[in-house]
Amino acid sequence: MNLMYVPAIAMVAIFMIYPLVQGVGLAFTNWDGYSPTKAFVGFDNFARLFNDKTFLTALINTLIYGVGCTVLQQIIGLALAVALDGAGRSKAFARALIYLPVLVSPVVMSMMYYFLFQYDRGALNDILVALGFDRIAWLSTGPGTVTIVVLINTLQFVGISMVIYLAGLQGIGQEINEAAEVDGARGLRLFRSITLPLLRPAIISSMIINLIGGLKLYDVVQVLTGGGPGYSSHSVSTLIARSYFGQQAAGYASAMGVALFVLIAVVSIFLVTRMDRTGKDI
Amino acid sequence: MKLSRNTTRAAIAAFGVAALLISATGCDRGTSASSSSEVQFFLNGGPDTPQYKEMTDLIAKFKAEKGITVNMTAASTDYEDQMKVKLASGDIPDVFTTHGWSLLRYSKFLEPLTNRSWASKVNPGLNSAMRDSDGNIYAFPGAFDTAGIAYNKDVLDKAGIDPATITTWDAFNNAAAAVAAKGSTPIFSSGKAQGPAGHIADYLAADTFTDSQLTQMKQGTFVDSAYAKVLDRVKSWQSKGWFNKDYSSASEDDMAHALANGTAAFEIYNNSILASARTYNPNANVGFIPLPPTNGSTPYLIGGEGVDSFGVSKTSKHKDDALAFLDFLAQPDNAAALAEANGAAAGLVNVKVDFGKLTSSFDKYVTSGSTPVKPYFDRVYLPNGSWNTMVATTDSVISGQSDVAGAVAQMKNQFATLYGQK
Amino acid sequence: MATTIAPQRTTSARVRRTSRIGQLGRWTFIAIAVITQVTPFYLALTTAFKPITDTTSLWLPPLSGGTLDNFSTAWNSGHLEWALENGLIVTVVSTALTCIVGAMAAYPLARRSTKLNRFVSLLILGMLMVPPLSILVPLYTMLAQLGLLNTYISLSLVLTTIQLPLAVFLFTQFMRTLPLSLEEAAAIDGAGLTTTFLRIVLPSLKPVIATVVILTSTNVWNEFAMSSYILNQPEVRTLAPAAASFFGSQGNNIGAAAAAALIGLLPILIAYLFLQKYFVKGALAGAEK
Repeated sequence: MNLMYVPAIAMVAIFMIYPLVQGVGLAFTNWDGYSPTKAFVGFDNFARLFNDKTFLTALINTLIYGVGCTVLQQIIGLALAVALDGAGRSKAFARALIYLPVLVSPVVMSMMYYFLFQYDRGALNDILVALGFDRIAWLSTGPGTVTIVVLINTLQFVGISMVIYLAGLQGIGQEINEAAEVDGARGLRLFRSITLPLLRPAIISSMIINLIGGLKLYDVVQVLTGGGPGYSSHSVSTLIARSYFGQQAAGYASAMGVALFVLIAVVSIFLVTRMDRTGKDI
Repeated sequence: MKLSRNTTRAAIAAFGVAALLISATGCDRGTSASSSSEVQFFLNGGPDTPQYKEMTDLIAKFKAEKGITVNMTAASTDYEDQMKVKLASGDIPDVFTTHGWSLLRYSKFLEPLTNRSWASKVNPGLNSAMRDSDGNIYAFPGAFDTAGIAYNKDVLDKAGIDPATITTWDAFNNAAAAVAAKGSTPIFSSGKAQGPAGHIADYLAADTFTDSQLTQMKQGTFVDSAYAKVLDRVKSWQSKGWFNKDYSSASEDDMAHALANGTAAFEIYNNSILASARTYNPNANVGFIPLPPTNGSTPYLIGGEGVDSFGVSKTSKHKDDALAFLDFLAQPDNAAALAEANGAAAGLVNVKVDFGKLTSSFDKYVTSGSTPVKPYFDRVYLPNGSWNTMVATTDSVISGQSDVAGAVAQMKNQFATLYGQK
Repeated sequence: MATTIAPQRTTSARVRRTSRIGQLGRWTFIAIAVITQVTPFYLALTTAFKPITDTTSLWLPPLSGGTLDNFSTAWNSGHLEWALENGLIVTVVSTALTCIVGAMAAYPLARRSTKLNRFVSLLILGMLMVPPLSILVPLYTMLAQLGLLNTYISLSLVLTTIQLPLAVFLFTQFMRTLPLSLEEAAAIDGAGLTTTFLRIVLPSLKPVIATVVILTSTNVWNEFAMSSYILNQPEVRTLAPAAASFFGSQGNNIGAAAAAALIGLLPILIAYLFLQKYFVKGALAGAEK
């Protein structure tokens, strides 16, 4: 029976693990990313990570992107699922429209949002000007850009959370009614004490999908400001690309890649085990 | 036993289905690597750009004349990344765009072209950037890229400024102040494009370093006092609020729009931005002036290998065909068409280019040969790999993320690291 | 307050009133959400129908006369007819492979919880966290040496591998919710593993297959990073790189880019609407334990 996962393992081994091992090897060299020659530099690149303020900024931003998007996506996704649970043409239509952004590539979606936040010809500033206010340079500060990036990524993928929660709600619809009859619970109390605990498994899968997406975030940052102003909105992924290609420091970029991999692994394992534990407490 | 045989069969069936799907599509594109008898050509430029269209025509003409098929692939924003991956993996196109890096970055992969018949006609202004110490050249310059300060004349008129009078930095600063007083943006640049900010520092540096300081740089000593002077000037503009408010998020496209629509007065950038501006507003009243001197006495232009320069891979299996293609591009008519599509001066002295509406600026400063042309600072005096840091540090000064001292220190650090690697 | 009226009626009146307010609040919230999500698409639409020289506000429809130029530019210069076909081939193949290989792999992982299998599950799930740039150059070099660049099969296999972890996760979670009784009955009847898998397990996976198909096909259809490297010749390029080629360092053509993006959205939108009702059921896959 175990033979059935051999094809999957083979593909993963050939197309991911083998290149990954080679890629990790680069982290110990000073390779420039294209020349035939490279020198072994030991742990220099990893040591450099600890003194690199830019990397620290990107690391903090990556955590904000990952955790911020995940939390917002769960709240908004769940609220949408509750609001749109049930039959009816208008609800189905609304569900499809809210899911729409999931269907376009993040590059394209970010570009569309760029039209919104642009300074001179941006759609938001057009409204401000029409109302008699001054234009706002939305993407001119680090914190402002980071916030907008979180919002855009949240809105693009909130549809996935919504659908997972809709499915969860449908699964527990019967149980709720029965429990409510016994309890006489209703409204918010019913939601908090019965619906939410029953949704726990849905919350976990939705969070895993969103969290990994948020921690690997690349396109939105790249399209909005390319990591600017300065380095203030870089995620680790965009910084890796910048070092790898732009600064011709492929070895150092590989070291950052290893660090990102470890970060994502630690955060997701931490969250999954924590969710499991709080689940058992209830 | 029985179990495993069945599983194997299921696995084979699964892959069979997939294989069937691929073969059932009934077209041969993408089922095998492309034909090996063609010359593979990798161009830097999107499919809707004038140079892509011109190149398509030239390839067809070349095929008709010589019977050689050139297979062109293009990339725009990620061209450099793609090219680096190709070099790293040994999958190197026969002919590819060197976009300003034929010497510093690509020469070790390129066939020397010094003996081609057109090589003696290369504009001498390109020598410092394109020829190595032995005089070898590695690319055909499709353009002689010139740069100065691009302006919108309507904006300057409104502020009562005649661009021809801007021959000193004081005059430039007065002009910028007058423009700001009228509510327009004096200097427009782009942080997001990760280039334009570096151009500003690069152009200024070309005349801020003294000759002896330049020699020191070439010998591996970073002269921070001179570099600080460059960034101090940028900082003074920044602290007066002369840069566009959306500097961080503005794209190169926004730069073209600002110049086209007259929201900005100056852009310290490639002259190619003028051609882009005209695609948005064909009647835009734009032109360029040389940069005022800092150490020298006369205004100067920056010049170098343009985006449209092409080299032949040293390891090409179709070297003769590839070289024939470059020789074909170097023929005066073809070279002129290419330079015109790019809105730039020609890289060869025997090629005459029609600049259309920009003729007056080009005639006055470029064609007449009266304005000295200095090379791109980073290509000659900085080690390969510094460019991105030059962009990033200037960017951090313009966006207020860093002070001058911090930016200079970062630049010095990168210089030392890269110089040590050489 | 009404003291003489039966308490029953006050309560129900209050319930009705709050529910009416609740309904109003609910639909206001839905309306805001829908408008927020649709706005970027509206802006893309107005951009796509305006000529490049039209610099009126993005909110305005093309008042001075719309144009289809952007669509024809996107179609002709971007070779969208090829891009759509290439995208379709790669998406169908990758999605089919992901479902087959993923479901096969998930079966033993869901049914046999040995130490080895738990390790295999973790290993596969861990691949979700690999940054694409960490594997790009070694992968590209391998494909170049095998002469597989610019072939559908290489991109399909790579993208299948990237999509597998999520698919295996969803399949495994769903299979655990299926009762063992049917499979046991089949075993008593003497059915082999293949028969049991094909006749009993696979058919009961329908809802989760719909989920995997939608998530995988959307991701593959829109994949940019790997696709732009592995298939970079115009004849074989897929949709996202074709659309992105209009954002250039010299001369962005935003109108054509918007047009290309809208054209590319259509097929996947149709597929989504078609599979939507199964999708909602199957999304539960990961949600049940």
